[in-house]
Amino acid sequence: MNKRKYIIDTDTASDDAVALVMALRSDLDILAITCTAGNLSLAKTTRNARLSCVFADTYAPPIYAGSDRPLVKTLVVGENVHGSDGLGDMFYPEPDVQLEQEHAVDAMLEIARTHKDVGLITLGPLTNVAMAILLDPIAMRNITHIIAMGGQYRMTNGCTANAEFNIWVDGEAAKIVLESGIPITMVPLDVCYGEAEITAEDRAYLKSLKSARGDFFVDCNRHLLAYNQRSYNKDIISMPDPTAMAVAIDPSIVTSYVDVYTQIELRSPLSYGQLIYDFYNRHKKAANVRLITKIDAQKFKTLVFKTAE
Amino acid sequence: MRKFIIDTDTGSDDAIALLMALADKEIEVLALTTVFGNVCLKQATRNALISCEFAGVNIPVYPGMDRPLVRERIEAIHVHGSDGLGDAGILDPKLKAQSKHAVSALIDLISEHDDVELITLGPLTNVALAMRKAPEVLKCLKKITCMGGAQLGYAAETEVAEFNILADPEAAKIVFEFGVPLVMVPLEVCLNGDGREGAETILNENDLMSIQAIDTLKSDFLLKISSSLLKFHEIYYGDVGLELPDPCAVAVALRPDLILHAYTANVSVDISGSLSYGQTVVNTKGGTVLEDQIYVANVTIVSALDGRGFKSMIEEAVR
Repeated sequence: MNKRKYIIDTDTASDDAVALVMALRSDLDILAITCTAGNLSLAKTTRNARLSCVFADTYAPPIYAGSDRPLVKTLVVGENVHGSDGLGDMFYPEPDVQLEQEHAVDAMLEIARTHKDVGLITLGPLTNVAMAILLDPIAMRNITHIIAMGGQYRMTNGCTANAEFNIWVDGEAAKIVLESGIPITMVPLDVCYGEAEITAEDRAYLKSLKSARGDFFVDCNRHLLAYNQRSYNKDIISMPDPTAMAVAIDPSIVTSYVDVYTQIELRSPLSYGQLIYDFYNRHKKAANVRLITKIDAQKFKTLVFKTAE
Repeated sequence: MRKFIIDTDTGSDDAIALLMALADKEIEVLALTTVFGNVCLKQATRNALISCEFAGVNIPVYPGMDRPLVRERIEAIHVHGSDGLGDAGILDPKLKAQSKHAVSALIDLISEHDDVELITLGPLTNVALAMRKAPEVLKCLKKITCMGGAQLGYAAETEVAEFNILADPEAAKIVFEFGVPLVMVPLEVCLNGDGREGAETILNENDLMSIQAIDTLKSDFLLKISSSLLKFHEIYYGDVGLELPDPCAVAVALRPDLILHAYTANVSVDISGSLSYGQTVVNTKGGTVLEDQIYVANVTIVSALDGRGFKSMIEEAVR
């Protein structure tokens, strides 16, 4: 059986890193990793993507640096969430993995032009993807689908009241992607919390494996843990990007979804970056988003644990 | 005795809410003020007077604004029928409305009486204008209980906005920022609240049969005027259910003991969105990069109401 092929676009901080390791140790064929600014500056996200390949310890797909800022907005990074290096201030040594010279957007387009069976997994702001769509919309139509970590539909205060970080960082890019016609599966924050949270018990288990990866998963997320403790009063590591990756690796993790016409608010200072879901089909428009509303959290965790072994 | 003024765009659920408030002998309703909304002002005033007649009381009814502050007018006759009372052929009232404008009446009544509480069942145009015209008087309001808004994922008029707020978002912004204690009863309270046990506020087939069995003029009136709302629910959900947002707000105002869950939050009204216009944006704290953002609570949000208590309150009102 042919392996399913994907490009991963990432603003690699701590939970992206876990997602990358999961991808590189799965049955997926990762053709490229394209990096964008988001959680951190572009220099830091590309470094962390390269580091993640070291911890995956399987293969390193070509890694490309892309956009260093959103299309329109000023970049806002989340070092308060992930640490100044984005990996829990563990200051891991410089990885022996090279960075390609080509721009991430060109690399994405090159793959899109030459393949008709490649999907895209996005773990950060959608700047690179939007740029690729703007530069060559016809080529990007070859992308079979996008699995995106982004948005929230009932949960509030993920970033602003009603907007989630990845979408909020570059709302204009998200609009371009939503309107591109590429089928989008959206993994919202709502399904990344609750039962999918990595608890103290889960962390103890990962540590008990005494594996480099088990340690890495816990250690690089220690700032994220502290953030959840002080900000949400919860002793957990939240795993949005690994959840999206799990949906790509094992689609049976999804137990409930709705296909829904989705727009984005960009004009309101209060609601900038909010995804507006037409659940009652008021606009009589075809759905452009498959919104994941429930996952098998146990299955998700098992996948994280197995990757750490 | 607690004193209330009720501002209403009297459609069918407002009429039921008015029956509930006017049947309560423990409180005094000083006056009704009417506003456009579910129907035009003229119709809302007519329906408010009809409600007074069915309740058997004669209190002043002051007509107010027939248009929103800034935006164009929207109506909800598809929900409540073209006369706002389910097109059930209810006869014109004998009672007459006052000639004084609702905005003046609000200001006068609040300055003449101490500790007045306000219940708003429609767009907030009258209240906002009174706040702008006589802020020092309106500051004397003890509390405003407002049927309006929705939490994320529960709106009904657009994807994110509830009707009363969407009908005049600029007015709502003035009211939400004014500084009088504000209790918000969002739409989902009448849709079984936040889903917790005991919060079943939708009147089901059995509830309607119990009301029918009461067999009074009032109970007959309630069932007649609800036909449009029932049809509306059936189209959406395919079953028999009566959603009563305004009666929920009256229950919250009159019987705080029926509140199952409430919390304080910062609520802003979106007046600039292309898609989010009229949304009530509920902030409890900042997330991710905005974690240090501090939001000052300006609103108490009710998220669940004791369904059994609520339904028996309605039964009592029509007995």
